[in-house]
Amino acid sequence: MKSLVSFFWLSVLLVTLVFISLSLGRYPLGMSDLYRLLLGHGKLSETSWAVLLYLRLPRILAAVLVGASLSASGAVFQAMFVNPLVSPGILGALSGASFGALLGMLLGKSWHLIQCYAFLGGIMAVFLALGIALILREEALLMLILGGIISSSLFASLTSVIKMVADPYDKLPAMVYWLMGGLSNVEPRTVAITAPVMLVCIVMLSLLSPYLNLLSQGEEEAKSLGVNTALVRLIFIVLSTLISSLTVILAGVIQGVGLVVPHIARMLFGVNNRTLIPAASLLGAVFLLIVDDISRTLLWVEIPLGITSSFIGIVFFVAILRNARRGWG
Amino acid sequence: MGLKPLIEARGLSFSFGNRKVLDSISFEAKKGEAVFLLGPNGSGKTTLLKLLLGFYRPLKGEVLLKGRLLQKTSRKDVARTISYVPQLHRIAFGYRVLDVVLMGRTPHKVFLASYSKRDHDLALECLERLSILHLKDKPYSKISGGERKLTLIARALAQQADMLVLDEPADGLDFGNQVRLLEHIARVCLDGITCIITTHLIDHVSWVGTRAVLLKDGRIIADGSPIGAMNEKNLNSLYGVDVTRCTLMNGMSFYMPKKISVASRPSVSERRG
Repeated sequence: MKSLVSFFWLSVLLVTLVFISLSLGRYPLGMSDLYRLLLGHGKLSETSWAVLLYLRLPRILAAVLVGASLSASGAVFQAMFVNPLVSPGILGALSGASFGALLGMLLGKSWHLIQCYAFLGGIMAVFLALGIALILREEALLMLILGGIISSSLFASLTSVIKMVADPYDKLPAMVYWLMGGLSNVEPRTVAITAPVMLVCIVMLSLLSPYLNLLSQGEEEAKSLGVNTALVRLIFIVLSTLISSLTVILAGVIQGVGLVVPHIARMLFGVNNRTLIPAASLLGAVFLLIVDDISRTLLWVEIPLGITSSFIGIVFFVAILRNARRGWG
Repeated sequence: MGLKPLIEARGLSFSFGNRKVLDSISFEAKKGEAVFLLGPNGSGKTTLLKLLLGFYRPLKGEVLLKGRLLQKTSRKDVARTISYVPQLHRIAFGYRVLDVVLMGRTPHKVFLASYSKRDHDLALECLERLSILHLKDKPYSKISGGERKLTLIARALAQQADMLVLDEPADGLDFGNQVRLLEHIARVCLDGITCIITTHLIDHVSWVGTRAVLLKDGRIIADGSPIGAMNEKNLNSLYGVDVTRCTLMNGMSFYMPKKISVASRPSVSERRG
């Protein structure tokens, strides 16, 4: 019951924030215009509509989706590996995606192809980690982590190779900037394509979340409780990889959210994954939306989202850690 | 008793790499028995449990669960027949005790369905049976070792399986908790649930066990009533210590080493000197 009430308020907060965020920006289209529009009187110029529907709305939706996806997959991996310090990149999805995107840039592909490269890179890296894990099936969990480490470092070094050979005056700065993450290049069409997939995956993860409690009891105990661990774990990995790779398409690599937000959610909502996964998704959406608003309005230039989210995440984390002694325990 | 065995192992062999851990073990357990597995460290007790639970595949031999081949039984069906109380339990997240016990209901619900009112009631009832109902809202990470063991037993009971497998349940418990744990195990067996228990505490076997199975170097060297199987010769062969059984007026017994040899080694003070 208590968590239902919290869910309600968190949703209200999210909707309010979306509304506020729509009114923020350089172009003069503020709260009062939106309010009048909502009431049914008041007209907007064509430019205003364009700003609202093609610039601000996609960006806001992207922030919401990316925040929710990264926190959900972070929370899933933390429960699955029974380790609260794990982040969505544990199986290599993020470094694989970075490599893919940079490879696309190096080859001078179009923006859409670069996005495809990023997505495929993420999937490929996780496949590599899964393949390594198959070497020793008895120690599936440990091997998965090792596989993830190997795959991550492989793709991180490949990324460095690309940076080294890239043209330092033209392409390299673009690459470095992209790696810092940001939502300034979000297109309505990309959001429209990725949003349904991400939403479906997050809903499925939320539905499956009781099985995370079981998996976090350890491999053998979960088996003794009647769970087909290999299958359930694979489903979780596939869904989480899918959404974290899609976030890279929208926003590049955003660090911090996937590690910090699940912790905050755990402190606020408790450790039971049944409430934690949906709570972390909502909270991640709220968090990244706020952070993106700050990124685009604080200074006269946009601050890369990856940087702001890391900074604000850390501040939040320390503040909440001080107040809540419960932590994971 | 002409009861059919609940679980039956036939000629089980298992090895880790080149090291043979179990060598053609045959063994069975019937309804309501309290079977204790004894043996020195590394004798293959835990491995045997894990083969019975289907965590490992036997190199040779087979396990029959209610007459069905274990390997051909689904995880869910196995979980409805055998529940497991592990020795070491990882705690990274402090789920509520009640939530931990509820997990025992997993094999009885449809995939993705949530736990029903009946499941909740049953979980509470299991906590009550072990007299730890007051812990239900506590985080699992914040309760004592003995309470954790009882919580895991409650979870196993909630599973409503015919058989309970406990891996060194008394390990790390204080004396009072050990006795209470044994009382709970004895009561569970009276309810008709079979218990298979590994232990290093041989007194416990004579207190509540109905059968003792002695394992040495991956082979069963004795299988029978606790008093019969745990004779001086077998215990000496198991632990390399001369042991004697002392029987009290009320019929209960305990085991003592015949002597503690200290004289052959220099004492602490001598070594310092």
